[in-house]
Formats: sequence, C-alpha cells, structure tokens
Amino acid sequence: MSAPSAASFGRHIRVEGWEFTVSVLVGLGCGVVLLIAVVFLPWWGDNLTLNAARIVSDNLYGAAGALTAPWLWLLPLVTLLAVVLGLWGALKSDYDGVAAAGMTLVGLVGLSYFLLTFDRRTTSPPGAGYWLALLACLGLVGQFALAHPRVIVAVWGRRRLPWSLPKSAWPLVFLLPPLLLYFVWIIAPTVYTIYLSFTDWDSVSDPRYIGLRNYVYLFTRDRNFTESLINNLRWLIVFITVPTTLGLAMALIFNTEMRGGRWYKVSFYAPLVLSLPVIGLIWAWVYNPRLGLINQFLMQVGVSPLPGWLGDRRLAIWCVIAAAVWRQVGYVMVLYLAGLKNLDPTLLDAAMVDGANRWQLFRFVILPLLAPVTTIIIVISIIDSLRAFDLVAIMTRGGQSTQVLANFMYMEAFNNYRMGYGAAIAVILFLISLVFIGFYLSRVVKEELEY
Amino acid sequence: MTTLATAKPVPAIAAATRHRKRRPQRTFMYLFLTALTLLWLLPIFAALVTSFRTMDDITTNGFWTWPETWTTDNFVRAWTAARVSKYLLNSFIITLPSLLGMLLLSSMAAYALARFRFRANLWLYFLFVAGTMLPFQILMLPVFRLTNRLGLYDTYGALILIHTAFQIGFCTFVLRNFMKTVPSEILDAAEVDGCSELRIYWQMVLPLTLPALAALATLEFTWVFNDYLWAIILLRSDTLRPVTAGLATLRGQYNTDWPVITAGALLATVPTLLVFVFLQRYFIQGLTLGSGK
Amino acid sequence: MSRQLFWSLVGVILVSLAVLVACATPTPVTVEVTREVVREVQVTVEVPKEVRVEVTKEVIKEVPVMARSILYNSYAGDPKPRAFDEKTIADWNAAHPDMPVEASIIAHEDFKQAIRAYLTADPAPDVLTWFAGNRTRFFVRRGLIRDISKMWADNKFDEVYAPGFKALATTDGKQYFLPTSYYWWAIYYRPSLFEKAGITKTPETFDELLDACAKLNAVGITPITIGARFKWPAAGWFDYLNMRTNGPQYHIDLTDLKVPYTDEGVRKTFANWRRLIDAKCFIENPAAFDWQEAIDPMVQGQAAMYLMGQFIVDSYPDELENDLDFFRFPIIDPNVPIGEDAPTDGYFMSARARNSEGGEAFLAYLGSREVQQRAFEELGRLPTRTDVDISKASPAIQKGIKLIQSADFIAQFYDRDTTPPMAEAGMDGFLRFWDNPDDLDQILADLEAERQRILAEEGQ
Repeated sequence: MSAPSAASFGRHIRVEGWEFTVSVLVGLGCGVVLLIAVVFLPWWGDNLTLNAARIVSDNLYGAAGALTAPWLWLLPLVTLLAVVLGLWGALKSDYDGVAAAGMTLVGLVGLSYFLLTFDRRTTSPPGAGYWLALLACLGLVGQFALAHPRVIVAVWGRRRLPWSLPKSAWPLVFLLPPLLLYFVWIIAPTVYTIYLSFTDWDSVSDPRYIGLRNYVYLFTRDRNFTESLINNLRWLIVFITVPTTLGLAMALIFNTEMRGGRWYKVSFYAPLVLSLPVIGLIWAWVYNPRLGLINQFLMQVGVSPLPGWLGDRRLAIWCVIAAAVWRQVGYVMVLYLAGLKNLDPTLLDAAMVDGANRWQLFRFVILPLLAPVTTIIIVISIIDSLRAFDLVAIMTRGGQSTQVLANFMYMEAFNNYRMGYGAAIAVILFLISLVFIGFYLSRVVKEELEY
Repeated sequence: MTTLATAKPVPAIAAATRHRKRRPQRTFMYLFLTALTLLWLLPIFAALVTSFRTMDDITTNGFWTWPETWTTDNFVRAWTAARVSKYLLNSFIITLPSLLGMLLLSSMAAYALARFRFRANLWLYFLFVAGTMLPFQILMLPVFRLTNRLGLYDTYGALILIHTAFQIGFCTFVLRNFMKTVPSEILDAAEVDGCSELRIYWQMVLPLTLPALAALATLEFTWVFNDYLWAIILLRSDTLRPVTAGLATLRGQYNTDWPVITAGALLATVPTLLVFVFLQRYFIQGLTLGSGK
Repeated sequence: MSRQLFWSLVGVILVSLAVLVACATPTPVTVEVTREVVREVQVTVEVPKEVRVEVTKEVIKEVPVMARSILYNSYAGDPKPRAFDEKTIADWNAAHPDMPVEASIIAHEDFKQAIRAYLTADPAPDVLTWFAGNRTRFFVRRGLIRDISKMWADNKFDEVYAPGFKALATTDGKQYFLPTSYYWWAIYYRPSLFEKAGITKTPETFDELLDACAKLNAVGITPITIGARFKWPAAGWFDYLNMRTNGPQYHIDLTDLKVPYTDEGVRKTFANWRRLIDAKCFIENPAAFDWQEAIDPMVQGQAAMYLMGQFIVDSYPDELENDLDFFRFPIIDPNVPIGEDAPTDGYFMSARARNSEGGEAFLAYLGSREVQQRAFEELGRLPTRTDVDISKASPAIQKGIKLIQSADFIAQFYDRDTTPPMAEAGMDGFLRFWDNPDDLDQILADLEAERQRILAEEGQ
C-alpha cells in the first residue's frame, strides 16, 4: 500500500495500489450487475412495476408504443455510464475523481429511484433482481469510500482538500440540488401552464394551438368565470378587512400583561393547526340547516324561518368565507403580536412622557410603527384569498354560487377535460397574484438595499 | 426580520397602559374575553362533545343538550373500520421525508445565498421569494403529467417531491434571512483555518440556524400534514391516502353519522395538535419568521 | 483536473435536468399515441372498424404483464355496497391468490371527480366501476376504455345478457362496458305519513300529487324531501317532468342535444316544475344536503316523499323499511308514452390497464351469475343476466320490476344520457331555477349557449 505522493496532492488525487484496484473493480462490477438487473428484472419474478425495466424490456424485445415514461431510459443510460466510467478508470492508470464521482452519482440516482418507487410494490415481496439492483447501487456509492478515504477525511477534517474547488464554484455546489428540484417542479410547470393556456387540450390527444381563444371565451361568454372572479373578490375584501382589524384588536388586548392571557391567545390561534378539510367538515356541520349547530340554536330561540346557510345561494359564499376568517384571525394576531414585541419601547415612553393618551398612542405611534407588518399581512391575505380552494372543494364543491377560481380551474381541467381552458384560468389567477407578488418583492428589494 | 432573541415580551405598551386600569373595567374585559373565546372555540368544542355521543342520542335530543351517554365507540370505529389509523400513518410517511428534504435543500440554497457574493445572488433570492406566493393551481396540470411520466403517480414519492419543491421557496427565504444574521467574520476565520465550505455549512452555520430550523420544521409540518389538494391529484389508491384526503372517504362512508365523522376529523387533528401543544413556541416563531421582517 | 471534475459533474446534472424538463413537455410518446387517436376520429365516418382494431392492438401490446395484481377502483363508498364489494373481492382473492385484486373503494362523489385523472394516469386502474350510457361513451370516444369484445364473446355473455343491455355496452359494434345491474327510480314515500295527512291513495296524476302536497302541508309535513348538494337528484325531477310533459322521445332528443333548451317544450316542463315549487312541495334549501342527509327528514317523520333510485334503501334505516313504499311518477299528459329512468351500472377496463389478462378475468367474474345473484339478494339491484334466480324477490322488488316492465321507454338518467359538460351545466341550471324560478329565461339561454358550444366542439 503506497501513500499518494506529495506531487499528486493539489491538482488531483492519484490513488495507487490495492485501493485503486478494489475501488475500480467494485464500481465496475456493481455497474454491470445493475445493468443486468435493470434489464432482466421482469424475468426474475419480481412484480415490481419498475418502469425502467419495463421500458428497456419493451424496447429491446419489441413492444412498440409501450413507452409510458420515456425519461426512465435515464436509469439504464446512466447505469451504462457507470460501466463506461469504471472501464475508463480501469484503463487509465491514474484513477481520478471523475470516474469515482460519476459512479457515485449513478448509485445515488438509482437509490433514490428505488426509494421513490418502493411503495409501488404493494403485494408480493421483492424478487432477487430488486435486491441485486439495490445492492449494486449501494456498491456504486460505497466504492468512493473505498478508494478515497483520504478525500472523505479531507472534506470533513481540517486538512486542506487534495483538490479544491475554486471559490466561485461553491455557490453552484450548494445551489444546484435545490434549484434543480425547484426548476423541474415549480418553474418549468409554470411556464408549461402558460403555454397550455393557448391550446385546446383534452389531456389525451395533442394540445392544439388556438391562440387567445380560451381567454376570449373566459372573458366574454363564461358566467362561471365572472362568478368565480366576483367570489374571489369578495373573499379578498373580507380577508383584508375583517381578520386584520380583529387580529390587531386581539393583539393589542393580549399584548398587555394579564392573568391567563396565554390561554386566551392559544384558543384564538388554535384553529390554525386544524387542516382545511377538517375545518370544512366541522363548519359544514355547523351550517347544516336541520341538524347544524347554528340552526339548532336558532330553533330553540324560536327564529323562523331558519336560514339555509350553505343551501342558500345568497348566503353560501359568505358562510365559506366566514369559516376561512375564523382560521385567519389567529394568524394575523400572531403576526401583530410579534410586531408589537419588536416595537422600540423608548419611542412609546417618549410618547407617554409627551402626555399622549391611549388613543393617540395607538393612532400616532403604534399604528404607523406597525405599518410594515400590516403591509405584509395584507399581501399574505390577498394571496391566501386568491389561492382559496380546500374549503370550497369540501363544503360546496363550487355549487351554490360559491365557485372560486381555484376550484373552477380544477373542475374544468380534471372534470371536463378542458386542460387548456383550465390552464387559462390558472394563468389569470397567476397574473392577478403577480401584481401582489411584485409589490411584495419590491418591498423585499427595498429592505435588501438597506442592508 | 423578527430575531428570535428579542421574542421575549417587551411590556412597554402594557406598562404604559396598566396604571390607568380600574378593577370593574378589568373584570368586564375578562368576562368579555372569556365569552368571546368560548364562542370562538364552540365549533371545536361541539365537535368534541359530538364525537363522544351516539347518533341516536343526537336525533332524539338534538345537539344542544348534554349527552345522556358517553361513548368512545365512534373513535374505535373511525380508527379501525374507517381506516383512520392507516391514513394517519400515510400522512407521516409523506410528511417526514418532505420535511427533511425541504430543510436540507433550502438550507443549502440559503447558505449559498447568504454567504457568497455572485452576480445572480439577488435574482435567485427573488426567484425563491416569488415562489412562496405562487398560486399552486398553476402547477396542477404539469405536475400531474410530470409525476405520471416519471412513473411516480400514485406513490408517496410523488407527494414528497412536490411538497419538498413547493416549500423550498419559503424555507430558503426564511433561512437565508436568518443566516444573514450570522457574522461572516466567524465563517471567514474558519475558512482561513482550512475548513472546507461543506464543513462550515454543516458544522457551523447549521447549528447556529437551529432555532430557525426548528421553527420552520414545526410550521411546515402542519402545512404539509394538512395538504389536501396534491393528495387528491397525485394519488389513486385508497391505501396511500393521507388523512386529509381519507376524511373525504370517511364522509362518504358514514354519511349522516356525524359522531363518527367528527371523531375521524378530530383524530386527524391529533398529530398537528400535539405539535402545536408541545412545540407551540416554535410554531409561533415559524409563523412570524416568514413575514415579520 | 478539479475544473474538469467540476464541469463534468455540472454536465451530468445538466443532462439529467434536460431530460427531466423534456418530460414536462409533450414527448414523442404522447404524440405517437395521439396520432392514432386523431386518425381514428378522422376515419370514423368511413371505416370505423379498421381503425378501432388498430387502436386496440396498440393498447393490448403495451402490457407485458408483470404486475400480477389487479388494480380495481370502486365508488361503492356507502356502507352496504361497500360491504358487498369487499365480500366480492375477498371471494376472488381467496380463489386467485396469484392474481389478487388491489381495491380502492372511495366515496361516490369523489370517485366521479377523480376518475378523469385515473384514466389518464399511469398506472391506470385495471377495472373500474361506472355508469352505462353517455358517461361511458365520453371516455370511449377519447380512447380511454378498453375494448372487451373478446371477453364478452369468450364468456358467451350474448346468451345470458338481454340484447338491450348488450346494446348499452356497445359502441361502434364493440363492447366497452359490462352492465351488471340496474334499478328503478320512483317516488318513495312513508305510508304512515300519508295516512296522517288523510291521503288515501297514492297520486297517479299530477293534480293528485299537488293535492297530496297540499294535504301534507296542511298537517305540517314537508311533502317532498330532496338533497341536491351534488346536483344530480334535481336532474331526476327534470327527467320525469320532461318525460311526462313531452314524452320520452322528446326527452332523449333533448339529451342528445338535438333540441334547443330554449324550446317551447322545455318551457312547459319548467312551468310544471314551477307549479310544484309554488305549491311549496319541496323541502327548503335542498342544496344544503347531500342525498343521504335528505333522508333524515323522512326518517324523523318531517317529510313524506323522495324521488330517488332504489338504492335509497341502502341508506334507509332497516327498522323503518316496512314503512317505506314507492309509486310511479304521476302522469301529466296521458297522451304521451310512459318513460322511466332505470340507470344501469357496471364495470369497464381502462385502456391503459397493465394487467389486461387479470382484469378481464376479474371482469368476467363480476359479470358472473354468482355475483349478480348476490347483488340481487343483498342489495336488491336488478340483474342484467337472464339466468339469475329472482323467484324469491320481495314484494317491493317485484313491484319495481313491474314498474319497469310496464314502461314504454327506459331512459338512463339525465347525467348518463347527455354529454358530461352538458350534464354539468344542465344540473347547475336546474338548481338555479330551483332557487329563483323567475330567472328561467336567463337560465335557458345559458344552457342553450352551452349546448351550442358543445356542438361546435364536437363538430370540429
């Protein structure tokens, strides 16, 4: 066993001797095993619906049109890459980091794939092929440790790395994984939806480009759209007024030192932890015209006729909004409480010394100081009211004139197979929010510049 | 941002107003607050009482009566026959990895944004901030197709990935601001000492960020745990459904049997409630972290 | 070297990124499948058969059967049908340990909404519960349902299924659906409440119905209950009023989108409906309840009648079933033939089924005499097979069978006879009318606009 020469430090690792051989052999072996396993899985009695295997087998063994998840070519392809890298490492006498890192990457891809599809295998125990492939992936990851214990030590230890990344590359190392996920799951879909909104698409045949027709129809012909828009607007107006004032009032009350204040506070923000489906369920029951909490009470008081709440077209949307407000007040209160705690006490003291009464103190000192918090709360309320979906979906399914944009979009896209049309609704929603997102961002920019 | 260090009460206003308070006024305020609080919690309280009584009892006596008999049978039925136990397990299987993933990834992004100066820094930061406000509807169709294509439809993985990705924006935003408060001199000194960036991130910055991470984790836990939309879009099997989506099935199964339904709904709330009760401080901090800049 | 290492890492990641992004856009695969479908549409007029064959070939080939389990999605969410479904699956699994059914039983209304996603997803379920009629054809037209003609022929279903049901399962000469049971619609009522109100015989004409309403109202009983939260119960009223007013042929033309909604006949139907509303026949706020919740007033003796399918007994308390009877929807115009709603339920296989072999076998089992016999005995659903022993039927079921046999025409149901988007808009309109009958002109104009839109879309 030979230690790496001093000269090999600094630019790249040169591992010689048995570590090198073992590492390359392990990597190569695992790559080959993985390749075989992936290709032959279906014949090894494994009922895993491992798409990769199916696709390779379908295409190798001639079932045309069978591709359902073409990207899964990636797994066998990358596996192949591992084998190539292994071979390259073996043939080149100085086994450098690229081959090792590449094989490690392959192993990681494979592992995450196995992890993510694990719950697909619901009935029978995994077959031999499955375990073999899994083992191979583990081996690919492990070979790195075999050949480069020193690298690992260097990364974690205080020693300088044998090879070091330029400082400018580090942000990329940290940013790439999150950005990758963010890009694939958030940004690309947003762009794709915008594209879809210009098409007519029933989710089966090709999207057909139809220009602005979806938008024209939305704005000129669709009463549901107008209804949803108005409902969102109602939601929005209530959301920026009611919870904000109520929450501020609560915050001011609870900011004083009072006995048991904690418990009062807790009860007001308790609804925050309930999930929206649960809130929808409970409130649907509260509103039930016959057995519901409210009407049972009104009945005993002797009110007649009893209101229909969710069954009454004029009341329904307000009922849904009320349930949402119930949840929101606590949130706003918490934010204001935090804001109050951050106020500079000296300012208040100064005001007190100047002989301000409580109202003046509130109106001219506290309120202006809370302005940043208020802005944030309003922006959050607006965005939340535009996103409103769960409560409507649970309580009325958009019936009874309670349709909101989010649910309308869901219904059009997934119920009527008008994906392009649904996308257009989503884009409108996006554009409306964009105004507020922009506003929010500009605030953030301002703060950044103050730094 | 709300620094956690100052999160202890500064009773300035309290001090300012206290000396004016008189006894009757105070009593009145307590009475008023108590009444308000009771009214506020009435739906939850009523649901709780209802879940312990029988449907027969309700149909004969109505909701506004004290139950004649108390029974835990509803919870047993919801837990077993209505499969709430299974749904709850699913919720955990989905929530915990998402939580881990989003905290890890976003702390990496946040570290890069907070520590390094490079041209796209601010733009990337805005990208993440904008994402926190994105209406998720715009993602529904493509994400449905994407998961389908990746062979992830009807797997836990589908939900884990979308939750992780969707929350990265918010977490990065919060963590980056928090990491900015860590003086860079310490980190630079460590670097001079020969510490690699990886190690600075893992062994210095992350421990320092722990309070923010804890607050975020509790908050995100309730968010992901309470998700409903993605569960109904990306899952087909009843056996994989999280508890929020499972409740809908429950509703269909026990249509007019409100005690069982409310019992199920309450059971579904228990985990978030526990988090709330035991990690309340973090939860509240989490709420204010994002917005109380 | 370090640079090289770095860039190769970046390269690998970028490549995978590119591939992932490519997935978000339509890839050649869809295009391939799609091209088939598009061609199908174009050629249907001339030679539908050839193209159909091609499409099914494509679909069958897709499946190298690895997943041996059968994915089954069911809407039997109500307690009794759920128990029935679970027993059926347990029986199958006991007999076929190598090919177990993996069932997901979810609530009816959720299922109706989710099925659209199921059928375009991967893996799609192999076998699904569904409704005959246009609701099936909608999917057939989009190539989402598998042709099961072979299964139909292999099991010699022609011999045991009545031709009417086979016709219902057939589109363009191929079977896509397996009808397994049907049921009747009628006005269910509580005889004891009728007695209390002094109603001696069940209404046979519209005037008698109005009269009964008046008598019930007089003693403080709501005449008719209905839970229209999910809209379709209101469509039952429209179906019957329209068939009794204008005759079944007119109704079927209307649901086929051949008659405009602004037509005089439709107005006559709504005028009759309005008479019922004005006479305060219905429970208040119908849209606040789902259909099971609306049974409660009946159970508690506060409402007397409910226009509902036979499945009402699934949710009706057993101990009160001896005080539950039904009668035929009253005659409005004695000159028109009598039409009845008798919706047919059944199963189909999705075109993307992975386990086609298992799915077909399971489907054959679901269509077997054994299962239908059980459905008949346990749920009271009428069998579609002619060889099911119905001699031991209860009086109620015999009455139901007679109700259907004496009809001149059998309709499915509004949301099964017309196209899904029209059904959605139509039922919305019915509820709007219910809330505000004065708004009729606007409602009919909206419905007509929707009909035009759908016609234009289909014409493309």
